[in-house]
Parts: sequence; structure tokens; C-alpha cells
Amino acid sequence: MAQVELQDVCKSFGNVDVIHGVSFSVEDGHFVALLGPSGCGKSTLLRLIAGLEDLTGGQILIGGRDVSDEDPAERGIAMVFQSYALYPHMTVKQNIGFSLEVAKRPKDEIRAKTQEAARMLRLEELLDRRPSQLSGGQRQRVAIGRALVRDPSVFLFDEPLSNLDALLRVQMRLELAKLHRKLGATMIYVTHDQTEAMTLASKIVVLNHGHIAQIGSPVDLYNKPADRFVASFIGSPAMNFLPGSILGSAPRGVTEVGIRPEHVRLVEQRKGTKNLAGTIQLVERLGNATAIHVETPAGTVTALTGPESEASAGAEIGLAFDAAKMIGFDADGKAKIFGIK
Amino acid sequence: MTRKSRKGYLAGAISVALIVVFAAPLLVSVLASIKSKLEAATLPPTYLPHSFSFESYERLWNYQSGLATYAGNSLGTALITIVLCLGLTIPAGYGLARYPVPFKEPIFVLLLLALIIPYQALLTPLFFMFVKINLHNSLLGLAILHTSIQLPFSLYVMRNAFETVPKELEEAGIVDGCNSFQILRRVFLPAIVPAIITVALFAFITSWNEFLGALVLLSRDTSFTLPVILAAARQQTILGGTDWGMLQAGITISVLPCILFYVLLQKYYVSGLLSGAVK
Ligand SMILES: Nc1ncnc2c1ncn2[C@@H]1O[C@H](COP(=O)(O)OP(=O)(O)OP(=O)(O)O)[C@@H](O)[C@H]1O
Ligand SMILES: [Mg+2]
Repeated sequence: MAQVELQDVCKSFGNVDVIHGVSFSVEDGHFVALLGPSGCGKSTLLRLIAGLEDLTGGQILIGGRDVSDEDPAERGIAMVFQSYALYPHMTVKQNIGFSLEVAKRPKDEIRAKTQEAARMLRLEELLDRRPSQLSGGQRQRVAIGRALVRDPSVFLFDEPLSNLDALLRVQMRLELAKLHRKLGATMIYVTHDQTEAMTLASKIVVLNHGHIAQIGSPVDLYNKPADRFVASFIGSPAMNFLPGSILGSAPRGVTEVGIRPEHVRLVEQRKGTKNLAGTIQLVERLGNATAIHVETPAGTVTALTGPESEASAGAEIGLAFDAAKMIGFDADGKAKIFGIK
Repeated sequence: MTRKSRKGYLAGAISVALIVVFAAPLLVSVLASIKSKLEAATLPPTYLPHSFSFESYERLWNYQSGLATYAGNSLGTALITIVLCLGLTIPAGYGLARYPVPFKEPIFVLLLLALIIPYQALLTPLFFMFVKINLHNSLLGLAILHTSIQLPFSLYVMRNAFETVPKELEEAGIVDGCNSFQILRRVFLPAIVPAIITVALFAFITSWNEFLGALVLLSRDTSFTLPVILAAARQQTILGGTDWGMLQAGITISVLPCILFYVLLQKYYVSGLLSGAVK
């Protein structure tokens, strides 16, 4: 078990800067997600922590020890790759026990640990199969098993669930959460799926173009986004952004306001009210809720209402906003005010 | 009959025609090798043998130093060629595919460039060089020549094979604690078995069939390889005239291993060993 600390980490490939001075720390035993859009440098950051890439600048500490110049195998980490990267010519048993075998551990120990990992991941029946004879979810579990037997102090996951179908993904998410609770190990988890990040992690590091956009708990990121990027990236359906002018008199410095779809209400359109009005473009029935997209003079606004909404496309409708939940952004996209009176 | 199946028949007919054209000389050879000595030499030649006889093989078996010596020489040279080819191109392919070697593309192209120089042009200087270091009349010397003929192609195949192994597989090995030799042996080699077999097969066939180099480098009759002794047998006259029956027996025997290897190893270069590794 160990704490992981990144200090001003930089990485360039040739003259392309990919990571620009990232610093954060992961407390011992915590589950942290690295979240961001495709190409923002999540995988690169994880590979830097693993030691698969050399740092261009800064330091990485694991358990208080500077590991910046150490080989991956010496860092006490285990990595689960997005593509699983199982050795195709080895059986499940050999795949799981491979790192112990390379470390020349006694045969009994290898067998015992492999069995233990297989039991935890429900792979006992599959130990003699080859990776090509497994389903996606099973391969994923083997990849986790391979990490497990090394008793790492830090687990690194690079989008481990992105190759699975939706149902399996939810299942595996639960299993990962269980595994984390059981092992109590430090875990760093890369994903571009905000639901995964929010359900699994106690802390989320949001990355954008190789910078940290915000670090915080899932609830913080949702309710108190630091800027327009985080506000728009977190939450589904995405936050609505409207020009500050719709407030009539916007607070000083606020040029744009954001409001989450669940804080938008549909109201009857009446003459003389200052409510925004528009035409319903699309009604998405999600089962547990209804997303209604309304075309207004200020742009398209999405409202999230109850499942029994009677709204239908083409209808004229008025919109009311819960001003206390509005977020005001300045011209640079920084969040200035939470809740507008 | 649908259009598609008609096309199928056409393709089948063309294939059969091609097979006939390619297989006919072989078949004639085999048939001639089991004719009696007299019949094999008759003019015009008969197509089907009137009587079976293995006397051609018997004469071949005892020809000069004996078939066993020559086949042994051929086989020995081919095996050394395979070992040298693999021994050189596996590390070279690994390095060129997986390491940031400076100028690796120019180096690679330079190595492939050897393909455009006909080795026949180099035989004379090579011969003098080999005489100096006492490699003429030795199977090792001949195998070195055969390796150099086969090297560019082998390197090309190997490097490609190393490049198709997913990067994550290598990285998984690194995280699991392998050094670069362990990664080569435990992760890469099992994944490139088809390429290894392809290289070995082509090295075998090249070496087994190569004639000119063997003719130039080998002058002692106990060190001849099969193609050389067969050529010699064609010119040498026993009881006035070429012993066609024996010659055909020699051809039949020298073709056999090539066909055998091809058929036995076929499934390897079709196999997709990597399926299931990623995704
Ligand atoms: N070896 C490399 N050489 C040059 N550029 C690279 C290399 N690896 C990554 N990059 C660049 O670095 C940036 C970040 O890549 P990275 O793989 O970390 O993104 P990511 O956040 O993991 O994206 P995704 O969600 O698509 O996996 C990308 O713009 C990519 O093109
Ligand atoms: Mg990635």
C-alpha cells in the first residue's frame, strides 16, 4: 500500500508537449480516476506513473520514494491495459503466474497465489484455457488477476472496461469497487467515461489538453465545477450554457451562465413574463426521466423532467430556471458565482 | 446454374490446367525413375513404365561416394543455413522493429539492398576469400554463402513479424519484470512462430536447391551436395551415355523434402496465433 505523488510532471514527445506540469497526490488506499476527453494525455500520465515512459520533467513518488528513474517492475505497481494484453500462447494459469515465474518464486507459491487470484475473480474453471477461448469479460478478469498476484502497492488501470458491452461494464464496475474495498490498495483509474469515474472514485482528476482542469470529489465536480470545461464535461445530459444577458442584469464579470438540465422547468408560455420561450425540437424518453430539447432565441436548452412528461415535439413552451442553481462564468470560462440571486 | 457457380467451375478448370502444367514434369521424372535402365534411355521415351524397377535408386545409392554422403551434405548445409539465418535475423529484426536504433530505416534499406546484387557476381572474389580462410570445400562455408543469399528476405519477414506484435504485450512483459532477453524469448518468440517457420522453410529450400555456389566452392567430391552430384552425373557417362533413370531418381529424391516440409508446415503460416491477444 502506498501513497502516490506527482510533482510538476511534464512529458513531451519530440517537440510536442503532451503533459504540462501536472501535480497531484493519491492518498494510500484511495481510488482516484483520471478523467478527460480523448487525447488529453490520460494514458500518457498513467504510463509515466507505471514507468513505461520517461519523464521530461518533474518527479513521481510512490510510498514517499522517488521512483522517477526506476524500472516499471521495481515500482511496486501493476497495470491493467485497455487491450488486456494477455500473452496469447499461455494458458490463463500461466498468464496469471507469469510475473511470479519471472521473479523465480517457488512453484508452490506460484500455484497458491494463482489459485487465490482465480478464486477471487471466479476464473477457476478457466485456468487451462487460452485467451482466445475467453469472452471479453473473462479476459478482463484474467488481466486483473495478472495484476493481483503481484501484490502491488498501486494498481493502474487504463480504460479497463471500454471494450465491454454496457451491461458487463456495469457488472465489472461493481466488481472493481468490491475488489478495491477488499484489497484496500491504491488504485489509479483512467477513463473518459464520467459515470465510471464518478461511481468508482473518491477523487477525480479532470484533465484537459495535458493540464489539470480540476481535482475534487464527484459531487464537488458536479456542483462546483471550476470552469466551463469541467461543467460541460461532467453530467449527462450536458449542462446548458446561456448568455449572461438572459438574466437581464447579470452580476459583474459574468458573461455566461450554466444551468443543469434537471434545474430547468417547462412552464406554460404566457405573454408578459420574462421566461425564455421556444419550440420543442426533440423529446428523448429515457425511461426514468425525459430529456426535452428546446430551441430558443438564446440557443438550444435541454430540460430533464419526470418520466411522464406530456411534452411533444413542435410544441411552443416556456422555460423557467432555478436561479439558485445557476453558475456564472466569466469571459475566460472560469466559474465566478454559484447560485444567482 | 447460377453465375457464381459457373465462375467457380471456371476457376477450378484453370487451377486444374495449371496443376497439370506444373506437375507434369515432376510426374514424368518420377515415372522415369522407376523404369528399368534400358527403358529409361530409349528414344523416343515411353510415358508409362512397362515394368517397375528400383534399380535406378540402387545405382544412385551407390553412385560415387554414395547418395547418403551427398544428401547428408545437402541436409547439413541446409540446417546450418537455417540456424545462421534465424540466429542473425531474430536479433536483427527485434532490434530494428522494437528499439530506437539511430538511422534504423536507412540501415534496414541498406540491408535489403543486398537483394539487388546477384550473388553469382560475387562468387569469384568469395571463392578466393574462402580459400584464404579455408572455408572452401566446407559445408560451413557453403552455408555462409547460402545465408547471405537468404538474409535480406529473412530480415524483412522477421522485422515485419516483430512489428505486428502489439506494443501492450511487450509492456505487459516489462511490468511483469522481464528484461529484454526474457521479453524476446517469452513474449515475442512464441508470437512469431509462423515467421520463424517461414524463414526456416525458405532458407531450407534455397540452400537445398542452390547449385552454382556449391559448384564453385566445393571441389572435393566427398563434399558435393545433391544438385552438384546430379549435374555431374548428367555429364559423366557410364557405359557411354547419361544414366537418365538414375538422374530422375536423384531429382525425385531431392524434390521430396521440399514438398514434405511445405505440406507439413503449411498450417503455420496461415495460423493467426495472435488472435485473442488484444481486444
Ligand atoms: N508515442 C507518442 N508519440 C507522439 N505523440 C504521442 C505519443 N503517445 C501519445 N501521443 C500524443 O499525446 C496525446 C495524449 O495521448 P494519450 O494516449 O495520453 O491520450 P488519452 O487521453 O489516453 O486519449 P484516449 O482517451 O483516446 O486514450 C495525444 O495527442 C497523442 O497524439
Ligand atoms: Mg488512452
